[in-house]
Amino acid sequence: MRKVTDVDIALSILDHQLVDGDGRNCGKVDDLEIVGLDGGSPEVVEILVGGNAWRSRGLLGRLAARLSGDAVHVPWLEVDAVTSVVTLKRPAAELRLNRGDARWARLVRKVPGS
Amino acid sequence: MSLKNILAVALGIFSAIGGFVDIGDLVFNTQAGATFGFQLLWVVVVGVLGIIVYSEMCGRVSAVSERPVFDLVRERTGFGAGLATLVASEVVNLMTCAAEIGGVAICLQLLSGLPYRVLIPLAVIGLAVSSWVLPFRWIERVFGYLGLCLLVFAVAAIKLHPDWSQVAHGFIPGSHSGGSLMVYLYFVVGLLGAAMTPYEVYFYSSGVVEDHWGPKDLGLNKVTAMIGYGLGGFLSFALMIVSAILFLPSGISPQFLGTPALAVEHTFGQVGLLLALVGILFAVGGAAIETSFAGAYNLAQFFGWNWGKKARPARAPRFALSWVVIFALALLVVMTGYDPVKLTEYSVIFSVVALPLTYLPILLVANDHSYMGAHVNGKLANFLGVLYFIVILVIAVAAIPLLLLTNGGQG
Amino acid sequence: MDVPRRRRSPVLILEHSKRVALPLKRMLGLAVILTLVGTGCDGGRQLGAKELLQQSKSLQSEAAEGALLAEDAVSGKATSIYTREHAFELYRAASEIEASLKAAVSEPALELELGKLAVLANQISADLKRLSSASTVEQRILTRELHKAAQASQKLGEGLA
Repeated sequence: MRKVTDVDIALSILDHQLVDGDGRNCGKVDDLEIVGLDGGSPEVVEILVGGNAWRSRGLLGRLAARLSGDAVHVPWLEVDAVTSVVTLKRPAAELRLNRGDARWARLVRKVPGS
Repeated sequence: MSLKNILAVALGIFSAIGGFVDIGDLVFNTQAGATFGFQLLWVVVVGVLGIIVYSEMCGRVSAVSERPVFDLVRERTGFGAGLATLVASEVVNLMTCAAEIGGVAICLQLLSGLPYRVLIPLAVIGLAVSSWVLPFRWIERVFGYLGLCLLVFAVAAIKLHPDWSQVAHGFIPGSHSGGSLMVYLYFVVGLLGAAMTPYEVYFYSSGVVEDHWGPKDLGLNKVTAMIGYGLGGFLSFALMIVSAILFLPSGISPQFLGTPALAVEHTFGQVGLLLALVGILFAVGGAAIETSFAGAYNLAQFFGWNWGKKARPARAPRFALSWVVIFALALLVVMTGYDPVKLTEYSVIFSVVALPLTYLPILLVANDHSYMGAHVNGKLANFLGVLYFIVILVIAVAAIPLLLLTNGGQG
Repeated sequence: MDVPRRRRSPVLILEHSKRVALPLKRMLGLAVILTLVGTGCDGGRQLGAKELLQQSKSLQSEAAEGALLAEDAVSGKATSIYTREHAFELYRAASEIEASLKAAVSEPALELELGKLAVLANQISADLKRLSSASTVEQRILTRELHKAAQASQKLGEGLA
C-alpha cells in the first residue's frame, strides 16, 4: 500500500476550515501550491487563503477574486495538525491571516456593548 | 439525567415551540384553512416530519463532525456550487428577514396604533440592539416563551368545536374541494416550504457546534428535533383549524397579518386578541433575529471567519457586522412599502427552490463514514432522507410555475 | 539546487468530482428569470369574467372580514386600536379594488357586472373607512351593511362563475 504523502493530505483538505494556534478560525484552504508535479515527486509548498486564490475555482470564483485583494500564502510547514480542520502552529496575526476581523474589530469595539 | 438537566431540556424545547412558528407558517396555514378547510392538514404532518428528519440529520452531522452545515456545504460541493448556495441562501434569508420585520411592525401597529412606517425602523433598532447587547440565551428565552402565547390559537381551535371527524379526514390526503387543483398544489408547496425553511437548519446546526454537542448528545438531538418541531407543528394545525372554521364559511381570504388574530378575538375577546398579537409579535421577532443570524452564519462559515451567537461582537466582528447589515438591508426592503404578506409568500416559494441545495449536502455527509464514523445514517434515516429529497426536488421544480399560474394562490 | 516552482492547482480536478449541484444551479437561475418575467407581466386593463370573479371574491372577503370586526367591536371583544387599524387596512385594500374597477373596461356582455361591482366596491370601502372611527351605534349599523355587501358580492360572483 502506497504511503500517504503530504500531497495526499493536502488534496483532501481543500475548502477545509483553518484554525490558528490560539484556536481561532482564520479562513479556509482556498487553494494549494504544489511543486514538482511534472517531475514525479510533488511537494506541497503553501496553502493559499482568500483573495485571488479563488481565481482557479470556476466562474463564480473568478468573479469573487476580482472583488478581493491578494491571497495570503501560508507555508505548509506552519500546519500543525490535520483533523476535521487544519490547525496551524502560530496565531493568525503572525501569518497575516484574519486581517478582516482585526480591521473590523477596531470599528466594532467603539460600539457600546460589544 | 438529573432533574436540572431535564428542566433545562424542557425549557429549551418549550422555547423552541414558540420559535417554530414564523410569518411563513402564519400566512400559509391561515390561507390554506380559509381556502380548503381541513383538507391540507396532512401536508403540515409531511412538512413537520421532513424538518424533523433533516434537523436530526444535520444536528447529528454537526455533533459528530464538529462542523456546522454550511461549512460542509462548501466542502462537499466545492467552491462554485457552495458560493451559488450561499448567494441563493442570502437572498432568501434577506427576504424572509424583511417579511418578519414587516410582521413585527404590523403587530406593534395593531397593539399601539402608531404609524407603520415609524414602527419599522423602531422594530429593527429594537431587534438589533437586543441582539447586540443581550446574551443570546436571554433572547432565546424571551422570544421563545412569549412566542408561546400563540398557544391561544390551539385553545381557540378546541373552543370553536370543529367537526373532529372532518378534522381527522384532513390528515388523509385525497381529493379536494373548494378550489382549483393548481391552487391546492400551490398550498401544498407553500406549506411544505414554510415548514422546512433552510434558515432553521443552518441556525440549529450552528447552535449544536457552538454548544459543543458531541456523540454523547445524539439522543438529546433526536428528542429536541422531534418534540420541538412536533409540538410546534400543533400550532400550525391550530392556525389552519381556526381559519377553516371562522374564515372559510364567510369567504374571508386572509391577506393581512392582523386577520389570524381576529379569529382568536372572536373566540376569547380582548384578552385572546392581545395574547394572539403578543404571540405573533415575539414569534415573528424571534424569527427575524434567527434569519439575520442564519445569514451571518452562512457567510462566516463559507469564508472561514470567526462566528458565534454567544461570542461578544468584538470577538467575531465580521460575523456581527454581517447580521447588522442583513437587518439594515431588510429595513430598506420593508421601507419600500411592499406588503409583508406578499413578501412572505415570495420568500417561502423561493426558499423551496433553494431547498435541494441545502439538503443534498446534509444527506451526502450523513452517509459519509469519513465524517460520521459509526454514526452514519441507518436504513430508516436514509429511506426518509432520500424520500424527502425526492419530495423536495419535485416541489422545487413546481414552486415557481405554481406561483405564476395561480397568481400567488388567488386562482 | 532550486526546485522549479511551477504552480499547479489541483483544485480543478477536485472541483469536477464535487459538481453535484451544477444542474441545480442552472435550475435556480431559470427560476429567478421566470419569476421576474412573470411578476412583471401586466394582466391587462380589460377584465374578463375570471378577473371580475376574482375582484368580487376579494370584495366579499373584505366586507365579510369588516363585518366580523364590526360585530366584535360592538360586543367589546376588539380593542379600539385594533378595530381602527385593521379596519383601515381593509379600507385601503377595498379602495384599491374600487380604483382598479373604475379604471377598467370589460367585454360588452360584462359591462353591467363591472358597473355593479364598482358601485359595491365604493360602498364597501366607504363603510370600512367609517368603521375605523365609528361609535358603537354606527358599528352596529356597519355590521349589517357589511354583511349585506358581502352577500351581494358573493351573489355577483356566483353569476360570473
